[in-house]
Amino acid sequence: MRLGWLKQQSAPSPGAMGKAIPVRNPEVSCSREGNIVTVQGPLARPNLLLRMASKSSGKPLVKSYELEEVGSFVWDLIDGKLTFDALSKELRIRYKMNKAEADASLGAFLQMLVQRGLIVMAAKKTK
Amino acid sequence: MNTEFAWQGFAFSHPEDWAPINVSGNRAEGYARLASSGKESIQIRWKKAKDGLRLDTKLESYLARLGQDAKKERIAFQSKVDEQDGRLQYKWLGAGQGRGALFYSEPTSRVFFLEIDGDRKGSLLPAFRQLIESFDGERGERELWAVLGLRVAMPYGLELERHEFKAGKTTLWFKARGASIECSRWGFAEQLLEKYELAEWATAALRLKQPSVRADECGTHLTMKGLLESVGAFVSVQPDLNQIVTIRSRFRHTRWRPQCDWVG
Repeated sequence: MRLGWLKQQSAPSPGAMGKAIPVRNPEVSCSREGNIVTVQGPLARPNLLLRMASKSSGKPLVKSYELEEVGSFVWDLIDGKLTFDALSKELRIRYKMNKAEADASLGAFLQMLVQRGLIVMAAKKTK
Repeated sequence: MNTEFAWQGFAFSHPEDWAPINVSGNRAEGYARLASSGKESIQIRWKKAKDGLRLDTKLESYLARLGQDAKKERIAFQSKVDEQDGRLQYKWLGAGQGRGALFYSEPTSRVFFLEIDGDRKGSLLPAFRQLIESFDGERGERELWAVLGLRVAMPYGLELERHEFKAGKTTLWFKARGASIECSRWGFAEQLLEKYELAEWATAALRLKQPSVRADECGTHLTMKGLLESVGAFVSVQPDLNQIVTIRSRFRHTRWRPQCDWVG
């Protein structure tokens, strides 16, 4: 059985990933204390019980994430303009990482932010 | 900017944005592949062999195999072989392109096969020249190991047991008779040392219990003496690279106590 609309999208190529732009979810707010950023966003995939509790109390479901120093540095750079490659370069300059480890740790961090609904990865359309 | 890759007794320099994606084998026989952020990659194979091995026939069969693969995909294939400085150098053009060399290294009694490959666009010649000119397969008193920011010059004869490449940490484990040695490169030195005192961090990170600590101009030495064997560690902070290099050795003979000149 083939369900076209359920078809899993293929993983982006490394080149396409490098050009992808992380964009913050507009519903996300953040606060800073020293080097540490705390991000507060809507709870991704709340269960039925939580949804019911939220409905009855009238309070939105939010969750806070305290980012470490390196994560906070990357979060500050996510402005909807810088690409993955540009962020990786900034990370390499700031923390003197090599390209492989900067790409790997940035990829894992952005994936975590995407899974929690804090950002989306926008890809440039190719003609 | 270039950086160095040194592994199992050979070394060469490569552009900084290239990284190892596959390393396997041992000193006698092995394989390594480093990839660029684009479509190029370097592959290197080595194998212990006796001098006088017919390298030309080996190369012919390799190129013939590439030619057959191209023929199956109905792609034109051409190759050219030259002998230069005692090495067989070749290039091929098919679905992609490649430049390589095959040669025997007398000091280490090994045959090396080096190749840079990529797509048909652009020239591989500058990268190939850099690879071949910087390649060093000489044997010395010390053996250089350099990968992903870790650079150590270890006494000759250590056997690499395993390796681990993680973002922020690179580790090589060696063994020798009566010693096991762990060399690591830790990223984020500045951030780590903002939170912890160096000796305190090293004691925890290197799994030491109440070691004696001594610091000198080249680094910090930590020692834990035992009845049968001792554990010694050497810690070097490299602020210009924002990294810490640690060498931890469990040894019976003091020859294997980590030395400050092991950090290359």
